[in-house]
Formats: sequence, structure tokens, C-alpha cells
Amino acid sequence: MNARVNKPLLYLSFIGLAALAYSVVDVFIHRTGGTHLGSYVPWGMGVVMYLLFVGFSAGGLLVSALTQMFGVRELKPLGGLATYAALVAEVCAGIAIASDLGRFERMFNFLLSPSLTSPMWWMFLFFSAVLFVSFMKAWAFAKRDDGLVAFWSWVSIPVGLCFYFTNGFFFSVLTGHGLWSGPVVPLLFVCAALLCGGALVTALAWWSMTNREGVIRLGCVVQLLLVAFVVLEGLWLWIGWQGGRVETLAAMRNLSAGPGAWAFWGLHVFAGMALPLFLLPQTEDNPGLAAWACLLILVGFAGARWAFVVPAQSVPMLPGLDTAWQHPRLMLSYLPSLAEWSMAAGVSGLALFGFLMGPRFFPGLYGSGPQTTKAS
Amino acid sequence: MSGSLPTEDPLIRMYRELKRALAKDQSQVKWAMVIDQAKCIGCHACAVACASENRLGPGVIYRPVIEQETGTYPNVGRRFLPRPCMQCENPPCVSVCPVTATWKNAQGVTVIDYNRCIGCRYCLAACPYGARCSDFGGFYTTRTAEEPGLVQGRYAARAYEKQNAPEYGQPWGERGKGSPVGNARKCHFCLHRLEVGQLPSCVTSCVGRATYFGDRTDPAALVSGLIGSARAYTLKPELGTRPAVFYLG
Ligand code: SF4
Ligand code: SF4
Repeated sequence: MNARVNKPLLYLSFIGLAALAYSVVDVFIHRTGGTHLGSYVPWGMGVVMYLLFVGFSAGGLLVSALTQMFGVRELKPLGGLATYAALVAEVCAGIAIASDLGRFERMFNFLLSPSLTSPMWWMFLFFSAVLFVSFMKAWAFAKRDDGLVAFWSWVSIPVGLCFYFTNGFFFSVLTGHGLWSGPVVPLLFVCAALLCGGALVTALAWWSMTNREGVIRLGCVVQLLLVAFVVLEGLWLWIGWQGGRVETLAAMRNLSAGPGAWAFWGLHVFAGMALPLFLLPQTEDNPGLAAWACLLILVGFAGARWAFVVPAQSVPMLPGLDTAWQHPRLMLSYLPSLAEWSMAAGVSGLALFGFLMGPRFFPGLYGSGPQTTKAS
Repeated sequence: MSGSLPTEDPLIRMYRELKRALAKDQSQVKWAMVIDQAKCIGCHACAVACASENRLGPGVIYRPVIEQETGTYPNVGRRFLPRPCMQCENPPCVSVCPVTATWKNAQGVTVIDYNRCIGCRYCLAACPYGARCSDFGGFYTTRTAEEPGLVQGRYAARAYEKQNAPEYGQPWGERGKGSPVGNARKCHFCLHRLEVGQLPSCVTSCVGRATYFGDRTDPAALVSGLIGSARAYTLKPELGTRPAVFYLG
């Protein structure tokens, strides 16, 4: 295991943490008033970052499923790392979404006045469950108790699948938004999460030098998931196109040719799908290349989430609504504010810090003995 | 007087009907609104009256008036579509709220409990009519110069802006950081006015007398007759929301 800490990356994470501090203060002072969100584009960077980190957190589920259900023994040594990465990502996702609430101090109402008809309530429930199970799994790994590890790994599979499903379900019920609604979306979310989570664990395993065999094996799984994701996404867009609803087609035009098209074509399609699809088949003896291809998938996923969340909202619910009463909060265009960029940089910095310091703080989780190597 | 002119202002009739409806068992009343597009002149008086009545902050609007252009030159037309909350019978905004902060009351009005709402804006995304706003806080007068004597009426304007409307019959205190800032907000048919026997603000301010309001379970009510008209239609009927706001096309 490589417990040396890359100092430039560590300093970069400190900048991120400073940005996080700034954005948290801004949230406490201005609530959502510091964002550039509005009533016609009510979700932006906060939701994008939440979905991004939710995707990153699925590596724990993927490795558990592969080792426990499918008996892929080469991946066993990656279990602790995958669980740790999932925990870090879940914490980051939680911060991103809690700070996006107009009245975050009332979150206890999820418990006091729950609504079982709301996909968001189920998402909250499964998010809490996933967080709890990840903690228990990490604890079991740290104790090196194989029985407990197996138990919590099995528990994490249905809980995790339900959680990633509810994230897609959350959007699929919004029939007013043609691009979001429909039964393919929850499946797309499950597949995207497994892909991203797998890519994250592959990259982290390579850079922390945990297990060469595991990196190659997981790289193959990521390759398969990427193919499945491409097929599902193609299906999703094709159904929308064939359905021919005016709002859906307008959202698709925004996605492919609107101001955010760079996120879709540049980040998502080129960096996140085409390049990894080209690189991954060549990584059988080259785990380093697999790790870089996975890093590209992660970067591309940020573009994918932006392309999913923002362009769909840039279509007026009724023609002419956006010009009926004019105010910056009643517009269809959206660019994040400084506070929102800070929050994005902040949770990314927190994740980077967590991933860098993981091998030093939690050597047990990474499958080694007490850490002895000094920081470089 | 010419036989083609109405003998009575529809407002007088609607007030009479409102009194009748308020005397009834309130669980039997179902409020409805009818907007006659042939009479709407696009003056935006209803939008402004509503913003004033409900003390809507910057970026919050309950009843924008959408301008619609139809046809292609030279066969063109222009008409207006005031868009309050549709008070859907089957409202998609209600079922998605994770904390049951919004529901339909006995008279069919979709209401929000500002003290329970967590400001997630899920209901904004769910409303197919774009009828909900998030209150991001702030004042219209924020960029107005503060030095005394520079702009007349500036302090008065801020003092006015600081007062919240008694929406849902509750005093919300001074506008600032407390609710409804951070909450979802929407048209509620001026429930606080109805309770004291007044018609919604958009109805009384309508210059063209294009907006009608009343109890649709009352067969003699003006709205009941209009809802049955061959001209009556609702927005996006294919979604199955069953609006209580009807348009006469
Ligand atoms: S118009 Fe929108 S906000 Fe009003 S009841 Fe229907 S779905 Fe809810
Ligand atoms: S913004 Fe408020 S009313 Fe709307 S769904 Fe969220 S908690 Fe419910």
C-alpha cells in the first residue's frame, strides 16, 4: 500500500477546504440567496454535486456485490478501500444537498412529517441507510472481522441498489419534464452509479498501490458497465426523441446545442465515454492506463450530471412564461454563482483530502498494518 | 340602457355569491376561477395587485400574464394568458413534497405550511405550469441609495417591503430571514381575503372584468355557468391534473 501523500494534491485539497468554509458561511448567512438559482431553474450546482458524489459512492456496493454474490475473489482486498471511498463520497453528497435547501434547519421534518408518496423521502431514507451501512462495514473492515464484513456487505447490496434506484426515481416522476420522466431513468441512475463507483475504486486502488490484480479485474468490470451505460443512455435519448413531445425535444436541443453543450459533448461523451471506451480494452496488462481511463470516466461524469440536471430545466413550463414577469430569478438560463462554485470546489476538496489521507488515517481499511511510511 | 350591456357589474354578483358560499358548510365549497381571454387586455393589473396583496419579494410572482402571439404574418393574433396556480384536483406538487408541507384544503385550494417547508424546491420542478416560486429573500429596494434626502420615499418603500402578508391567516412577522424566505410560494386564491368575505385580489383588480371566481358546487354561481361553456378549456389536460382554473378561449 502506498501511504505517501502527494503534497501538491494535498495543498490543492486545502484550497478546496477553504472554499468549503467560505460557501458554508455563505449558506448560513444567505441561505439559497447566494446562489444564481431561480424559480424556473430551481436546481443547479448543488444537485449536480450531490448526484455526482452519490455516483462516486457506489463503489462499495459494486465491490460487495462482486465479491459476495459473484465470488470474484481478486477484488476482496479492495473491499475496505471501496467502503472508505463510499463513506467519503456519501458525506460530500450530504453536504452538497443539505446546503442546497432553503430551510436546511428543518431537515428533521423528514422524520416528524414524512410523506411516503414522495420519492425524495425514500431517497432520504435510503441515503441514511446507506450511510449507516457504510459506517458499519468500515468498522467491520477496520476490525478485520470477516464474518461481520460479509454480513454488512450482504446488507449493503439491497440497500445500495434501492438508494441508487430512488435517485433516478426522484426524477422519473416529474412528468412535466419530458427528459427526466420515464422508466429508463432509474435504471440509468443505477448503472451510472455502479460505473462511477467502480471507476473511483479502480483509480484509488491504483494510486494507493493496494492491489494490481484487483485494479485490472475491476477495470474489466468498469468496461462492461460503461458499455451497458452507453446502451442505456442511448435508449433513454432515443425514446425521448421518438416520443416527440415538444418539451422533450426542446430539452434535447438544449442538451446538445445549448449553452451547456460543452458539458455533454466535451466532458460526458468525449472524455467520459469515447476515450475510456478506447482505452479500457488496452489495459489488460496496464493497470495504470486503466486508472487513467477511470479518472476520465469520473471527470466525464461531472459533465453528464450537469447535462442531465440543467438543460432539462431551461424549457419554459408554458410558452412565454419566462418573459411574462422579468427578474433574474425568473429566467431559463443558469450559471452558478461564486458561492455555488465554492461549494462545488469545497466538496471536491474535501473528497480529495479524504482520499489522500485515507491510507494514513485508516490503514486498516486499506488492508495493511499500522502505517509506517512518512509523507513525501 | 342598451340590452347588450350587462345590467350589473359581475363583481357585485360574485360578492353576492361569495356571501352565499361562506354561509355554507365549508367542506361543501369548491372554489374555481374562470379567465376570459377574450376580455383580458393584458394590462398586468392582476399581477401587480397580487404582488402587492401578498407582498411578493423580488423574483416571486403568483400570477404572471403571459403574452401569446398566434399565427403568421399577415394572419396574426395576440392574446393573454394570466397564469395563477391551477389548484389542481390531482396536484403533482403535493405528492412529491417529502415533508407533507403542502396539501389540498377542503375547498380544493393547494396550500403550503411555510413552517414545515424545507425549501427543497421539488414541488417547483413537479408543477407542470411553473406556478410555484422559491422565495430567495431580498428587497426590491436593496440597490436604492440609502442617504437621507437622495431618493424620496425610499424609507417608506423599505418599511412597506418589510411587512409580510398574512398569508394562510398567519402573521409572518417582518420580512427578513424568517419564512416565507427560503420556502416555496404560490397563489392560494387569496385565502386570507376569502376568510373575511373578500374576493381574490386579481379578481377585484381586473380592469377588463376578465376573471371570475366562485363556488363551482353552486349551480347558480357565475363560474358554474362559465365552466360549462363550449369555450371553456384547461391547460395541459393530458397530464390529468384537473385544474380548478378554467380559460374561455
Ligand atoms: S398548478 Fe402547480 S402548484 Fe398549483 S396545484 Fe397544480 S401542480 Fe400544484
Ligand atoms: S419546497 Fe417546501 S413545499 Fe415544496 S416540496 Fe420542498 S418542502 Fe415541500
